[in-house]
Amino acid sequence: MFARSANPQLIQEYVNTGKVRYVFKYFPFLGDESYYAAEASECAGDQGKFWEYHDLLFNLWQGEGVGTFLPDKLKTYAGQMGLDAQAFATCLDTRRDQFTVLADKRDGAQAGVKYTPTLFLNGTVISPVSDYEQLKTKLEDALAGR
Amino acid sequence: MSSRIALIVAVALALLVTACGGGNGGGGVPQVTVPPGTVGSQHVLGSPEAPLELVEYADFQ
Repeated sequence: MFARSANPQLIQEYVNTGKVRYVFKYFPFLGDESYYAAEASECAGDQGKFWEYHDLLFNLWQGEGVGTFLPDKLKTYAGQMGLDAQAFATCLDTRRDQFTVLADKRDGAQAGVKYTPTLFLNGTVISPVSDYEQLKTKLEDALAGR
Repeated sequence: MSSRIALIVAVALALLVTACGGGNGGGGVPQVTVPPGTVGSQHVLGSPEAPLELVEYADFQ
């Protein structure tokens, strides 16, 4: 999975150096837990902790539909991160951010996304990208105007 | 007799559909339509002046 394995290097070498602007979008399509996780991330974002929660979920990944991202688990992770547990639970239980997540998916589908991760570089699909080195080559080529 | 069997089959099928969440993929998260004009998430790292924009669509699973 791209985001989990490559992001730290990408952020350090390209985002922090002003070469790349990185945008994360949801494209949940692998089952209910995909939606729960995405909406929970938005709830964490409401408390200013989107990226921390995003990183945590990718680090916790164990497979599809194995229970890692069920609502009770997601609430536990939020509590362990020091988020306001009550506010987080209310946000998740009421599905406050479901339309934000679904709007991402709608936009992705309209742009031609059919699987994840799908990467767009300046509006053009560059995935599949197998590893960071391959991504780095594509970024360097783009920076060089190739 | 055959109408009775048909009725039993119909009831069984209705119960099966209900148990499966009305056909929404096994229950759980109901699928809904996004209201027109709804804006997606806004999670961005880096400078707006950066020459490259990398957009990733991802599923946490």
